[in-house]
Amino acid sequence: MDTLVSLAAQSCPDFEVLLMAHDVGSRDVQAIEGRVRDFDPEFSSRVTCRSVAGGGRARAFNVGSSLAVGDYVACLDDNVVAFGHWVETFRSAASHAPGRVIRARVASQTIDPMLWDDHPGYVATSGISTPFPKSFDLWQYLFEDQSPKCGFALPRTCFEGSGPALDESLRRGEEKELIIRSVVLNGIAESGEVTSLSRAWGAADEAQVEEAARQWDVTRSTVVSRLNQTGLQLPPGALDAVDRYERDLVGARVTVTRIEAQRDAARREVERLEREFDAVMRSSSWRVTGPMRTAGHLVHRVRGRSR
Amino acid sequence: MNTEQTPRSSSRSHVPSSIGIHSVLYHPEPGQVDRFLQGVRAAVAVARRCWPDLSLTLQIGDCSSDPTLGSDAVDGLRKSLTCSGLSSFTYQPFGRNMGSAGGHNALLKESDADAILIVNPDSYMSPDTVVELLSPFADAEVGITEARQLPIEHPKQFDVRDGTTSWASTACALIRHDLLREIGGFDAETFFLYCDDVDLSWRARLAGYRVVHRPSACVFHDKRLNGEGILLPSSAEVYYSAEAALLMAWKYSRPDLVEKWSGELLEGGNTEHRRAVEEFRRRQADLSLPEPLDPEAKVATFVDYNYAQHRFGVGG
Repeated sequence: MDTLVSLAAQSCPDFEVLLMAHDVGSRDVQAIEGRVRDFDPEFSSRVTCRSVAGGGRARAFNVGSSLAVGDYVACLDDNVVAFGHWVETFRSAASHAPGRVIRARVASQTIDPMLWDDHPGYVATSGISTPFPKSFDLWQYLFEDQSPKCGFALPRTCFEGSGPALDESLRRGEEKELIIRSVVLNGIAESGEVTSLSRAWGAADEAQVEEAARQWDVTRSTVVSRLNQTGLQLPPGALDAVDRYERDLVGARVTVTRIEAQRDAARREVERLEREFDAVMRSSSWRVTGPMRTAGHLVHRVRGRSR
Repeated sequence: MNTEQTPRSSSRSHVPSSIGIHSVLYHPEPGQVDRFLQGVRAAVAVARRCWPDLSLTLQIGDCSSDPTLGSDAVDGLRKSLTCSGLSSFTYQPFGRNMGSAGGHNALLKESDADAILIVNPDSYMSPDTVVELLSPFADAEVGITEARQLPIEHPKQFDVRDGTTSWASTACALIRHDLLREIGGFDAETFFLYCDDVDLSWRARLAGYRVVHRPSACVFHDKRLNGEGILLPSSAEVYYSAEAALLMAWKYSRPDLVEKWSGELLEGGNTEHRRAVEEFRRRQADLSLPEPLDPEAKVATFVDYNYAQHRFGVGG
């Protein structure tokens, strides 16, 4: 409901809402449609509700995007609320750079479940942070960047290929391949504005964290493999980034080599000193003077007690 | 939170049968009033569906230098809003900036509703907001209910069992009219822009009412962040919030905090902070500060520069 309220409150009303009720029973779909009708007609008339079954979040997105008629398509999962200028920002950036993928920034906040009377609700438990990269880097996005899809608006033409736009087998980052291909094909325009807030349950246990990491790893392998198979035309600026990464990598390797050499030298010095120490301990002069050192220790101990 | 105030009798009649929705404009952004009214219309319709006998009215005051709404627009709105279930709609341009407290007091004089729903015009109510805010009023002790704000949830602490909290933000809050009459409405003499709602809440609690945060009632309050994820206040907000902090400390019998905060604002603050201290001292010299309340700190809670324990820092 929060997500819908945040859409109803947008400063720019030039958008339609395709509300995908995913894996929801027919009675609940009716309830959702009823909640939509509760809004003022100015908003509710722009909302289309569809029931979608199976296939992970990607299937809901695929069905929704196939129904879209606007110039751009953007997606809010139900754990996201839009700031009042989410649509306005996409629209403004697209008017300055028509046809490009638009990227805005996403903030993050943790929440915990709580009961609102007798039904499930939540409460925010952290301040708002901006953990995702400030600007888009194709390679970082491919390998590391886990920015949510609510920060992107894609030209609808990006969805016009054959087959579903998103990989329905993936559980996380299912939009990555589509976004990478769209950026390569169309370029990207960034607004820099924080326009949405992604909320994550804060009480994930170790098993959930491990499972999430595993799912991200599957996504990365799958996307890399698929881009490898089909090839990827590099967009302007991409080679600069590769060059930068290559130089960083060479520099890092030189640093590692230097540190390893220092470490090896230090090890050799320790070994040399240990050998010298052993030699002294085994020397005949050290053994001959042994009783004198023992006597000296005894004198010191006796003096110590007398004080 | 201190809850030692005297509880109210539970024998009085409690659930309001009429609600006056009040909002005060001040140079609104284009389109803002339309969006606000869309939220109002939906919330009214849902409330009337749940309680057909509930009477709802809408009063908009305008502190802008020139009226935001022309007479044709007002006539059109009156027709469309009354069609959607409102009993009446009035628009009152004040012609000057009376501050939020002053504007709301002016609207209160014209209202005879059982309860007043105060809503910021830069907000959008969820359709069930009125219903959710009204439900706790079955309890006679409840004097004010406050909606949860989106997208930036207020960090102040509340009791997860019954929502009891230190104070209610009038970004969207439902208040018994009897309570407002009893405590004399907002203290517009003291507070121009900020803390008028904290002060109202604390006086309500001193009068024996409970203030309740109602997370199931939600209102979208159009706040935005900078690129670092931080809510950046305008210079006017910086000035008035600093001034209000000093006034709150004075009014709630904490001269130690007045002294401490004045020193901090003068030494480490910016121009607005220093101006706020100077204005406070001018009022002190003019003997125009309010009479201090709550000497035993039954309701007043000062934690850093906040008026409640917070669950988290706003910045992360």
